[in-house]
Amino acid sequence: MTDQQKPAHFEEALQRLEAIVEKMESGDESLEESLTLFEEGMTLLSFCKDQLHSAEQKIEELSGNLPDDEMKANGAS
Amino acid sequence: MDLKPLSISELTKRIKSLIEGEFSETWITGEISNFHHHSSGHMYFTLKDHRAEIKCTFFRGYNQYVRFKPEEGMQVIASGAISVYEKRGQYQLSVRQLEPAGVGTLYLAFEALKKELQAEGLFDQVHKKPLPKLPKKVGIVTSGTGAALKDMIQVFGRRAPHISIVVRPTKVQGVGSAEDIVQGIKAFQDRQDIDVLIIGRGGGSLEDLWAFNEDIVARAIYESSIPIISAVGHEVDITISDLVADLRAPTPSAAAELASITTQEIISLSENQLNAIKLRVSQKVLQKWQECDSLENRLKLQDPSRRIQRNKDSLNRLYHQIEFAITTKQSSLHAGIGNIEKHLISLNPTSVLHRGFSIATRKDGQIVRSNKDLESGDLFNIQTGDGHYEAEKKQNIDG
Repeated sequence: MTDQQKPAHFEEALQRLEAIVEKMESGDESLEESLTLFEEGMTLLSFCKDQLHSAEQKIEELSGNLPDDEMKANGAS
Repeated sequence: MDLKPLSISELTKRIKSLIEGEFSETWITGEISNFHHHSSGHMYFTLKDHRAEIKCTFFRGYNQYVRFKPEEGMQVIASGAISVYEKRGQYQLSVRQLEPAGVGTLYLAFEALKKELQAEGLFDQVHKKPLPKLPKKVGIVTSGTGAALKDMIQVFGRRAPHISIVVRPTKVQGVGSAEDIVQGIKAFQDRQDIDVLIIGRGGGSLEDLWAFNEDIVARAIYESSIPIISAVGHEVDITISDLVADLRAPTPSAAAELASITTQEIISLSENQLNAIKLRVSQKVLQKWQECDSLENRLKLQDPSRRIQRNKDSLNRLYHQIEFAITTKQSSLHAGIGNIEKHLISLNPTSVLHRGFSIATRKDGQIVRSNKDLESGDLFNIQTGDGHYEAEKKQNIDG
């Protein structure tokens, strides 16, 4: 499955994933097709989860910065 | 006509709201009697003239600023609010300010001006300008040498060093002070950089504070395009300035606090905003997680290995069906073959021989079926159940 293009961003990946799931749920595709779709779906899913994890991490990092700075300021004074 | 009698509570409640509404800011003059300075610090006394009397309370929070020693029999002027004590059906004066009676003309002037400006609408709430949230520059109109200025500078320095202060040293008491205050207020109107203006002075007698009860000062405050905080004297001193200003501060220090937002407050303000943003972003992420998880569940339901398993199952089923079919066929074939065997066995000519028949065969191997198959004297074979022997045809007996 080399023809899968890498999703540019989260929303696009999520939309594509949703389309894949809907297609698979309709159940029209052959076994070969469904294997391809499933593989792409799992790739998209892990991409989305990675994005969400890094978003959460980023939020923690950014909001973690404030108290740190404050502590430094207090320590210095 | 409403015939339903009022309950005492209802009546008293109505009296209370009538009286307290009417006499919220009252000046009365009379003679002190039954004066009692309680160990709690509160003062209790009665004010009376030759016809009537009223009970007065003068609580510690207010009486600490009194500038003379109240005594039995003294003529005084008291200001405060009439309050109704519902439980006992009594009304009394809660004194906020007490002065010796000599200054009576000033009170009359105060009351007259207050009434006039009130009628003109100078005190109306609609004219009050809101204070800026984050002032950067504050103008102050007060004495350049007074304690009030020192207090304010100290408060600004401690709370909000980021705010710059512009002071217009002003004469705040005595002849010409009202005019100077007006000049001070006007001087700031020409500048564009002043966010809020504080006018005021420290505590003093009614005469000391009088400039802030002058008509021209009131009108200068009213006309100011910059929001003004008025801070005159102590908490108990109420001046016309206080009533016209956009905000009244009980003291100059309090005015400085009202005008300043501390660096810490700014930090916590921005922290609050940051937290709000964080919350919003986190919620967004959570919502996306939910979408992702639900898609994951749906995708996994479509896992082809499930489909393969289903295919395997049907293959298995087919195999068993075929196997069953073949076995059935086989056993029915077996049964058929058995019958045929029996049939064959029953058709075996040798079994006939056992039952006593014989077969005659010519030398050329042909079975003898007719008299004509053999000539007299021909040798032929006779087969029986347990063997065969040679025989000779003698003659035809009949046929």
